[in-house]
Amino acid sequence: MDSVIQALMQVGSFENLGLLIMGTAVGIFIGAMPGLSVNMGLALLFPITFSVGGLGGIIMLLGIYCGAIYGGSITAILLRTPGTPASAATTLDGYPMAIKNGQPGRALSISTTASTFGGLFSVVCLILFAPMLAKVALQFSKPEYFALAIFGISMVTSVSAGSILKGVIGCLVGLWIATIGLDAMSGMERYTLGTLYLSGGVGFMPILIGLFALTQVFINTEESVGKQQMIGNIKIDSVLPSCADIKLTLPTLLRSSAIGTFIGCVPGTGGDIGSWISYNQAKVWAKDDSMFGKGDPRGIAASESGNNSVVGGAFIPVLTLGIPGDGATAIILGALMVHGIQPGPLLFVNDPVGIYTIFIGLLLANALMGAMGFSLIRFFTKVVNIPKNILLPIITVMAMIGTYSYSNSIPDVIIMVAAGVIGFFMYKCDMSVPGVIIGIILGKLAEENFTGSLMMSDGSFMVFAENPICATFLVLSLISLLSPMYRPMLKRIFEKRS
Amino acid sequence: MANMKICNYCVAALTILVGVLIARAALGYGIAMTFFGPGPGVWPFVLGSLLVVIGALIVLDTVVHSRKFTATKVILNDAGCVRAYIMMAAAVLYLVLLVILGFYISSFIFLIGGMWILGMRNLKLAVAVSLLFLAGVYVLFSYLLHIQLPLPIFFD
Repeated sequence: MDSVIQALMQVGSFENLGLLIMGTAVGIFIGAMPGLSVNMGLALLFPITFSVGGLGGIIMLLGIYCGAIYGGSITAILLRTPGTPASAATTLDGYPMAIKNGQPGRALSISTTASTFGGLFSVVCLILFAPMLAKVALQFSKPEYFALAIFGISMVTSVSAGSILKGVIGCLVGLWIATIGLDAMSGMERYTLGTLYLSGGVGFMPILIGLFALTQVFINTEESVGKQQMIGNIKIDSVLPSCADIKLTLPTLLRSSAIGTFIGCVPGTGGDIGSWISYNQAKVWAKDDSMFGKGDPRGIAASESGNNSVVGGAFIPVLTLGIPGDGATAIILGALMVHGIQPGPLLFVNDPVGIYTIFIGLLLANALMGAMGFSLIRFFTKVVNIPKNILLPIITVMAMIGTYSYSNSIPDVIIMVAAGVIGFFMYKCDMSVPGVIIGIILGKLAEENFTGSLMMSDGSFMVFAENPICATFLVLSLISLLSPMYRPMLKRIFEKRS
Repeated sequence: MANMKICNYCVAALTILVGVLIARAALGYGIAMTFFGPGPGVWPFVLGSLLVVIGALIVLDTVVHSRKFTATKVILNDAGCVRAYIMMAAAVLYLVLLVILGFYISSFIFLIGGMWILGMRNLKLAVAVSLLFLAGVYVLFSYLLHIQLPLPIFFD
């Protein structure tokens, strides 16, 4: 108990609270800017922790981490430009609700609620189940990782708004793009056309920004013909979500937060995988999924609670085993070690004040993120009121900056523009864009673990069936993949019965 | 104006072609089981083959639902599309200028040009918005975050 009180005093001090507020605000801003990643934000502000001293710097980094994951949803909803890859799924329902249905305040309030809920849920899980969940995640070997990737890929049928077959093509192309470059096992160059640039693989961010942001610019440009450019005047009655929205999204929030927390504690995954799987499950479990992709509140709630709950989950292997799950937690792990905190099973015994400080810091960072989000919704929605003939060129320039600043590479910008143009024709041919993104995100994870599993089994495919966790995931993937075929049939049966 | 049936056939043909090319290249990388595990071509070969299968399924689906797809129109040459194509050309030109003139000058030209394409005729407002936006970008990226945006070739 003494440790908890000491930790509370540590976090509650004027200096540390100020650092937490600053970190969260900076995180939200970084997340909202396409091209500025969570990792970049953490890396840029990491040196500040040296001058702060003690746990203050760590608390600030926690604020950045939480804020940045949430911040990505703001531009995803208002501009269809996900600030971070974790927010890509939010564009599917966030943008239609904000722009086509003219409810940006509602979309942002649902995303803020979901992000805060997901974040707090995962931290509570971190506090309660950290050692237990870490044990389950540790049992994952290559076949389980492969099955997890396939489970993620299977959601392509759910996110394909147009033709499902064309959505699958997009996903396969995405998976192929992920193979470009050096093969991880043999070191052989694949599909590089002999260029140095492609031997490093194709960046994910240029394609993400091109397909989402630039394609939307071209679609809006097409739709702008014959429309008078007027300054919009969308007004917001309330920045808080309505009771009906809370009631509708509550089961989704709970489910997605649980999924996100579990995904987070599996090293090598991240907010992007958490949000896509949560979105897919929200659609699978919905009685009526006809509004998904057209501004369904459950779609926003699923992806946002799914990606923010990854934060708490990601700290489980970091704190209990000293294993970072992704780049962001690797930076925070480094910061902890620099400040003399050695994560691992002994941390709970050797430094209880440190561990409780991190728990309380994470709880406060999520609460602050919610408070800042709600209070700034009116400010954020001003973006929607900017006339399109000013906003669209600005989005294009932001897309250029975002892509270039990500890796200081002009070829990346060329790929972004090409992806934008291809995305426009994909839209015309009724092809879904998210499939490509899912393919690229999960491609490496799927291939490396597919190859690794076959190596383990000397080429026997039985390795995927013999392992219970792996087999369960693969069966679930098959059910998810075939859902468009049997769901209308099931729906008809249930409708007849009712 | 085209229809979705033609579009589907084009998509299917392109998919099959890409699938064949991917699979063919994958065969060259090796798909046999080696001491180091499956060859580097196994995974891409599976992907290429699946693309060919999906392409064929699209052809089948289009033949079966021919009437429905013929009735679905795909507009590719109306005034809106032409404006979108002009915007695409402007984005490509912006990319070229980005390499030659650097970020700030090319962005200024693109912002004015982009607003003009989208029907903005108030030049003073366009210039003011562009300058204000680029000043914000300079303060944030160049001054605070020290991120170097492309410089003109004569600066290199």
